[in-house]
This record gives sequence, structure tokens and C-alpha cells, in this order.
Amino acid sequence: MNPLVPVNDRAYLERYVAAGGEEFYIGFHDPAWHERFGDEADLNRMTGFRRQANPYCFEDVLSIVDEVRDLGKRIYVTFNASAYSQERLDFLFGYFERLHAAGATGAIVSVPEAVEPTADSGLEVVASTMCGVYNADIARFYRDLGCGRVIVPRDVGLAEIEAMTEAVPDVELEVFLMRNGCVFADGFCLGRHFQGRNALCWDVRHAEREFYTVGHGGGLSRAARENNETYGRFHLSACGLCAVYRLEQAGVTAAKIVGRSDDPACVLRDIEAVVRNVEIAKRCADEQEFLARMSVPPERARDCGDSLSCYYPEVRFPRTARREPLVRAG
Amino acid sequence: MQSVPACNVADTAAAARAHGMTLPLLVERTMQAAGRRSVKRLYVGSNLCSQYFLRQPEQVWREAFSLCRRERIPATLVVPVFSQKDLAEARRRIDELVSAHRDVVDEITVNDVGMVAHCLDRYGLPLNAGRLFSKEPRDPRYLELFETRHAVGVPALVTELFRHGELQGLELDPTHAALDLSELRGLMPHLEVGVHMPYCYMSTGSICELASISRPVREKFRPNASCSLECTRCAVGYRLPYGARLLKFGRAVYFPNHDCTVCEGEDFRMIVSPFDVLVPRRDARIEHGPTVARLDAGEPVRGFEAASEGRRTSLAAEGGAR
Repeated sequence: MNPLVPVNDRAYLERYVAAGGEEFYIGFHDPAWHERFGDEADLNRMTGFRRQANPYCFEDVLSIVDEVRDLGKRIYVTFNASAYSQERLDFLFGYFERLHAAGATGAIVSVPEAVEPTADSGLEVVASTMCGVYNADIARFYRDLGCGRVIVPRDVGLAEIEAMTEAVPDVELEVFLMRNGCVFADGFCLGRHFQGRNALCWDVRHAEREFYTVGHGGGLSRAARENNETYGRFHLSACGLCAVYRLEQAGVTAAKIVGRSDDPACVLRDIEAVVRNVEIAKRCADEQEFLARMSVPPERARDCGDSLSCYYPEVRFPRTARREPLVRAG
Repeated sequence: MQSVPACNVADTAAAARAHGMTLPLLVERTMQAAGRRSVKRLYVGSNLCSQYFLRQPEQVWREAFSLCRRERIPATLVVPVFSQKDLAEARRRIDELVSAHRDVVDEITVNDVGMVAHCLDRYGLPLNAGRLFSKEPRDPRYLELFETRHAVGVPALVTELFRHGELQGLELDPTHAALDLSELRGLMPHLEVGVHMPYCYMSTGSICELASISRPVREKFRPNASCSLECTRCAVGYRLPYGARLLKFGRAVYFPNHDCTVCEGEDFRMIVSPFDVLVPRRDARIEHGPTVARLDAGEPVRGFEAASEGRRTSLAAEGGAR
């Protein structure tokens, strides 16, 4: 299982590779796109955040592709806006041919209609998490269109990932492993991202809220109030290192380290942690041995206590039958 | 232009009883609130929550289909996206429902490409592309983008499926102040278009805040975790700093758009959801509103700054496929 790393700072590329980065992904901004379609048109899901999330222009990306290829690694370019009109899709196709000529490995696409033109350009095609590949039927659909890999949404459980690798063995699976969880699903979230304004998930968790309840008693129960407080702390960071053994055993191809707008030093430490734990997993006889021997960086370990920062909490915290009431007893 | 009134009790039918109503009364009040005196179709099931679909009580399913028979109106079975662990059970459940209620279920609304193939192969009923097929951005926080007359685009996939005869209908949300269907109609004049009213779907995911209320901290917010349909008894309203209001019902977040107008089209279905009957609306008189408990913005977020994850753009960069 290879770590898949965002190229968020070109100056870190060689360090990322030295740390074990095998595969990279990158998005870009393009003034020509905005000149044609307007400032609010998304080239990828992070376009609205402008250069904070897409610091490089297309010409830069071609050069970065060249550099990654020289380093003997693979790089994918992301086209993962929520939707594209046919006119915008036609514009995208111009990028694909140039990326292939430059030596890019593939493109990450978010809509079915982009798959065939991407494949025709010679690029490998990856179905983005925006495609919402939640089960094997959907994975087969994208495989049949021409995707060699699908990115499993971050809100899919570990056992489900294992089942999908068995059900669709001829499709590579890429899973979320490190950084930046979310309360919503990327593929089903249609709020806009704009620089200087909050993402929807931020606003929802920080807004003044009213709970409308029915039932016996009055007001929210203590459990409901605690749940509200806990929801505000959920996935402020995210880590899936405890799942590395099972993901490796399942044959998952790539472990995604998220963070196109994150501090590259933090991303570097996450690459090191993933690589270190994949190596440990390969030497372990079973999951229990891995969990006993695995290496958790100190900055991650401090979040390990309550499962709220876990991509795959079921590894350490299996569910029990205990339940609490919704409304306060009256 | 005419609109055909339909009532969407997908995701909400089970809430009627919790709110002291029968399902027929919920439907009646919903249509009244929308200013319609009749209902020509009932949408039953779930648009956005696999757990709701699998856990809606049998009695509620029966009550819904009985209402259809009594009123002599057809039912649309609405099927959400199922994740891998629930797929087999979901197929069994859909089989049972279609088999038992074929006399009233005359079409199925699906929300993913896998289910399109499955339902086509198995049932031979007309299919609608559900709300998750139309992913045009919408966001009431940005007035300059929202307050426009929006020409509804057609997802190329939907066009392709329609041309192959695999889809008969498309469901849309009231994404902007006004929707212009003319382009859509021009491309596919025989497409059955439904517009959900008066709330626009905005976001969802597999994690249910409300279903976690009954769970210990270490077991909260698991994707597609089993639940007790807490959504039938609790919803959440949000007041955003920019004046926008949102509603979380079940796992999904919506924004109200009661004044949306639909322009330049032929007939379309007005698919009305009962949120205004189930939760308070500021500009509506609600006779049977639920209890409101307010929590201020500061309460749930203590400690965020300390917990953020080394991001250079901590505010704006939360969210999205990074």
C-alpha cells in the first residue's frame, strides 16, 4: 500500500520522496479557465480557495509532472469539481492530452462522462471520492467505464473496504488514511468553497443552533447535549494508522494523505508514519501483533483516546449495545 | 405552466406518529402548507439515508401504501445510496416492497448508478434520477450566486441514460431563486421533471449526528451506524453568520427556499416535503410545533484552535475533497 501524497509545496517534493512518497496528486489553477467560465466556475473541488489550495498553474504542473517522473514516481492530476457542463468538460479534455504528453500517470475525475475521454488521452483514470463509490455495484460501473482505480469515500467503514476489495478485485482501491476528516461526504456536499469564507461543514458546526424535539419531558437530555458538544470535536484531525494492517492485508493500493492546503512539514511527518507502519504491518503475523507493535507519532497519539479523530475507529473501539435517551425525562 | 402536486414523505413518514399525527394528516397538512388542495402522487422511502430506508417500520410502509390505494394515487419508491455492508439487505427489502405493493408502486427513484442497473434488470419499472444525480452547486450563503434565474443544466450521464431509455424522470432541488427549465426541456422534452419544494438539499454523508446521541463518546459518528430513527423526534436548525438558515433533518442539511419560482417549462411535478409541518418555520404559524432548545454557537466548539491540524488556512480549508 503506497502513500499518496499531495504536492502542496514543490520545495518538499524530494523530501516527500525520501520519506517514502510513491504516488502524488495535485490540482491547479488556470486563468484561462476563469476567463472562459467565470470566477465561480470550479476546475476542481478546491478552486474556490484559489491559490491557498491550488498554488500552481497548469504550466507549473506540467513541470512538476516532469520532476516527479524524473524521481521515478507517479503523479495524478485532479479534476474533481462537483459537476461540469459539457462545455467545461470539453475544455478539460485539452488538459488531458498535454498531461499525458508530459508524463502524468493519470487523472482523478469526478463525473462519469469524463472517464472515457481521459482514458482515450492515454491517462490512467481514477474515480474521485466525489463519485461516491460506496459499494461494489458503483465500483463496477466505474470499472466498466474505464477506471482502473476508485477512491473510496472517507465515510466508509473498514469491513466495507475489505468487502469491496473482494467483490471487485480488478479495481484498485485508494482509501483515506491521514488528515482532514469531515462530517459530510465529499461526493454529496454541494456547498461552495470560496476563499475568505468558511466551508459549509465549518459553518454547520459553529453556527448557533436550535434543536427541535418531540417526546416526553422537556428540552434536550444530558446525552443529547453532550452529543452536540462532541460533534463539534469530531474529525478536527483524522488518522487511520491503526487500520494499516487490515488495509494492507485487503490489498488496498494507495493510502491517501489529504492536505492540499496543509503545512508540508506536517504532511511529511504523516508520510513517514504511514511508511513506517506499512513496513511494520508486513512483518506482523496478525492484526493484534500489529496493534501492539505499531508506531504512532506523538502528535497523533494525543488524539487517540476517544476515537473522534479516527478514520477507522472500529479497530480500537468496537461498538457495544449501550444506548442513552434523546430527551430529558420529564 | 402547471405543476402536479406530489407529497414526499421519504425520510419523514415515520416522524408523523412521533409528532402526534397519522401519515394521512401529515400529508394533508404538508400540501396545505404548500398551498395545494390535492395530492397526485406519494414519494415513499428515503432520498438520502440508507438507515432510514432499512429501519422505517413496516407499519409505516403499510400506512403509506394504504393511503395511496385509498386516494387512488400512485407511489414512487425512493431508494437512497447504500454502502457495501447494507447492499444485500437493501436489495432484499426493495424486492419485498416492490413485490408486495406493485399495484401502487409505478416507478422508482434511484440515487446512484449501481442502483440504476440493478432496478432496470430486476423490476422493469420506470426510473427517476434522484436528487443526488444533480450536483450543481447551490449555496444560500452567497446571495450574489443564489439570487439569480438559474438555467438548469443536465448532467451528461442523465442525458445518456435517458437516451438509452433507462431513465424517465429527473428530480431537482430549488437551488436558486428561480429555476429555468427551458434548456432541459429543449434537450429532453419527454423527461418527467420533478422539483423538490420548499427545501433545497445541500449536503449529507454517512455519519448521523442524531443517531449518535445514544452512544458513548468512543462509539459516536460511525458511518451508516444502526439507529433508532432519532430523526423522527429531533431536527436541528442553524443560523449562519451571513443570515442564512439551514435545517438538518436526518443526515442531510437543507436550506429553505419557499419563494423559488420555476420558469419556462412544461408541466413539472412539485414534490413537497413536510419539513414545515414537522419543525417550526419563522414565517409560518405552526399549531403543533415541537419543543425548541437553543444552544449558542460557542458551546459545542471549545478547544477547536488547539485541535486544528497544522493547516495554513484553518478556517476556509475545512471541508472538501482535498
